[in-house]
Amino acid sequence: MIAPRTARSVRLLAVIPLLGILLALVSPVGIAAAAPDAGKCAPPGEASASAAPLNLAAAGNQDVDKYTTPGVVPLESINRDALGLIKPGTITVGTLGDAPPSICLNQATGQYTGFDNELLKAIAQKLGLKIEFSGTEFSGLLSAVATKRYDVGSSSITTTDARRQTVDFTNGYDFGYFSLVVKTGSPIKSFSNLTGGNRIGVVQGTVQDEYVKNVLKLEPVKYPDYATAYANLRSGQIDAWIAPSAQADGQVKPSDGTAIVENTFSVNNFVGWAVAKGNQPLTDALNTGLDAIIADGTYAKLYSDWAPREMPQGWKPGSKAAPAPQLPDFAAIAAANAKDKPAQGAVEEKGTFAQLGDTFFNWSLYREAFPYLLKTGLPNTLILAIVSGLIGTVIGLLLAVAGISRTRWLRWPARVYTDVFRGLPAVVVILLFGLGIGPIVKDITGNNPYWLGAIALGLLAAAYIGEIFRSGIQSVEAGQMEASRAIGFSYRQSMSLVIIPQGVRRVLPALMNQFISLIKDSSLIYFLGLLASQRELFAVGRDLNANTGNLSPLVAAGLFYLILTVPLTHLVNYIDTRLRSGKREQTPVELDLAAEKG
Amino acid sequence: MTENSTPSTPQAATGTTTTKPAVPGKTPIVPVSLEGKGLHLAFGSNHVLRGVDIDVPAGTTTTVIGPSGSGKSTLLRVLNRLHEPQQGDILLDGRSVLKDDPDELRRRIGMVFQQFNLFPHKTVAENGALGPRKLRGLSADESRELALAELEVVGLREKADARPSSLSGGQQQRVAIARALAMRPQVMFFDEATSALDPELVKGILALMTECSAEGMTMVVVTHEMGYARTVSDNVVFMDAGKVVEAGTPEKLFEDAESERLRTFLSQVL
Repeated sequence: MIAPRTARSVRLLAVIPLLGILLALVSPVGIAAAAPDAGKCAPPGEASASAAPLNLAAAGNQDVDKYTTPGVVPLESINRDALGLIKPGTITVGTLGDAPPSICLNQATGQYTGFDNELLKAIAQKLGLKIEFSGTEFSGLLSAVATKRYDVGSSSITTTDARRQTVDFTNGYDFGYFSLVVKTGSPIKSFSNLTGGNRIGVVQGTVQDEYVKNVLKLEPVKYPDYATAYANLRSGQIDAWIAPSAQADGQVKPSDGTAIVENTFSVNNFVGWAVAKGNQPLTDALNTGLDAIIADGTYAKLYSDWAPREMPQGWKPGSKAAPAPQLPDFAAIAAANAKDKPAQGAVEEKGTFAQLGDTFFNWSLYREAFPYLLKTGLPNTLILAIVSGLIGTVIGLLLAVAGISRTRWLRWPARVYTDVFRGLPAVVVILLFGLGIGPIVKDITGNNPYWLGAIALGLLAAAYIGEIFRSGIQSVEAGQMEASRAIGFSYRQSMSLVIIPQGVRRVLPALMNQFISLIKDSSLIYFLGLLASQRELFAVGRDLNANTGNLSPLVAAGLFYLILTVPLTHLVNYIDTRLRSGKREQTPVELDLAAEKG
Repeated sequence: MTENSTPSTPQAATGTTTTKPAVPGKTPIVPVSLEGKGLHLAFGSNHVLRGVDIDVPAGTTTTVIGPSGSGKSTLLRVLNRLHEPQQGDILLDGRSVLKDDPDELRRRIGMVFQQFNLFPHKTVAENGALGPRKLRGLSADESRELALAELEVVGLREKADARPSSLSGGQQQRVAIARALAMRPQVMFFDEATSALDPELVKGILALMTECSAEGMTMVVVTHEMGYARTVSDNVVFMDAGKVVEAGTPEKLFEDAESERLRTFLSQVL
């Protein structure tokens, strides 16, 4: 008895050094906890002004501006209670953290900011409304606005005819060049050089995505966000990246070995905020607010701070009646700066391994990421995993019992449920549930997708847990049921007192594995859009990744996942071994003899 | 077996010879008669019972013998309606029980299995206490006390808090008997209760069963132990191919068998 137990503890002890290594990797970080850096999520200031790009592709599409309104309704006539807001008195905004300086998450304050969102804050103030931001995924943003998950979508959205089918847009507050970014030394010098043989990266569902498909007639490689697309360009996975100029300007650094080689522009594709289709009062109110902050100089100040660049000929923000913002001569500032600065060619491109090392193992970024991962990411990941685990266990047990029921009206629905939920990718279920059920139950959830996401994860897990329970219950010997029934227990009592407790015990290791999956799958909740304080490990890592263009925060998040999952994995092995060896202890003949003689 | 457990003596614990307090729930076992009439059961095309009659007067032991597959174990499971008979009737204490709640019926009939079938996730005492607590309305304390009393009867009180898996086969079967007795059944079934035991352990269990018989319980015993059948039982039933071929006193069947099949069977097993 004693020997095997010692052997087991030794095995457990073997886990500890591994944990030690993991902790050692992150612990210096905790002690240092440097002052958080806003990263790229801070206004670059007027001094960083740029002139209109010289390498502007011949636009050839000087259409008439079809959508900008001639004027706006007077500010006094706006009825704050008739704007159809989800939460009365508050504009609920869906935004992203991945596109500084337009939209980003300031890690230091935990607030969504950026040029677009600062403008919205100023407008909300003019209108006498509060404002609340949630982070989400661009691919789902417009449909979330259309289904009134958010009042406003703010993500440097370039207005297109296709998008106007889904949502309405305000007047323009920014303009969209888009930039062609390549590795320095690439043979691609302009949009016209792109061919079917090139891998061209875009963010899925953006104007650039449409541009590559519809204008260039090429097949783009699609990414979920700008940071990922850019990281792929840097590592040579794609030949070119077509990005909004603001994002291209924000990301491209000569030391990365990348450069913007050409830009393009269309007057009809200005940048506006998305509003649910038909919510004219809100669209009008935002247009009025925009004109008001242009008139009082707020716009000019924010523009100079966040996005100081020369406006293209023939375009200005706001309605046609709005005054032109009084902006400094950015072209002149840019020219003066260019004189002061040494030629940028002096910056040398780092080697591949140095670049990779910097991308994945930037220690100062680990240090920066650690407090957020610990304080925000870890609790949320644990809450999501535990809540969905509990939901999954309860429903899973019901599914298992229904699945072995003698009544087909219980058996079949359980079967169908299991087949459907096991057959779908987790992310599909989460998106369908969050965006499909979300609007129906928004009065209960307060339009907060956090718990919806946990439920969606729980429903998914239930299908797997149900099968685990079912196999466990079915592995209990038939004699147990017979003995229980022979005592006089009903079927239900026999199941709950005798069969299920044994079945559950046998599948504890498998259940633990399922819980480990849940810890990892909780990262998918990100797709539903989370408040800054609700972000789990992956979301925290990704926002920092987007903010810095460096993958180290994601690696740091990965370490946190390992700290959670590795001990659990070994706990599973331990339980498994114990359960198995427990069986081996059975019925030694010596005991029989001793008993009979005694 | 201790003197205070004599099941047919009303409330033995209150007897004069012992100072122990009454064990709650240890009501007297009141044996009743059991009768099966023309019982039929088929699993698909496999006709396991083909009109079986069995009559067990109150307080007597009937042993069922016969070759493997003759339907002996199935007969027990039909008599307590673990399998519902497709034809025939079952009378307990002279009254048909086919319309009763089968769970109710089974509480009145204790059953001991070849493979013990103890609940491995419960301790020995919990195995005995579970039925009384959930089905006889005893409190947790009362049912445990009852279970301990029954364990004492089978000589395993000191194992009360052990897990069944730590016990020997013989000990497990004793616990199974105690578990059945804790329900204070009117009839006891033993389904090849010694077949899974090592030969040297068989004797102890048979002795325990003999004590139960001697105390006047109504018992139906399916067994391959011809010595037990011959010396302990009041009646012997010989089954073959789902039918009762011959029934009667042990003397008659073992010494003066009428049928060729019984004589052949006995010549093979004796």
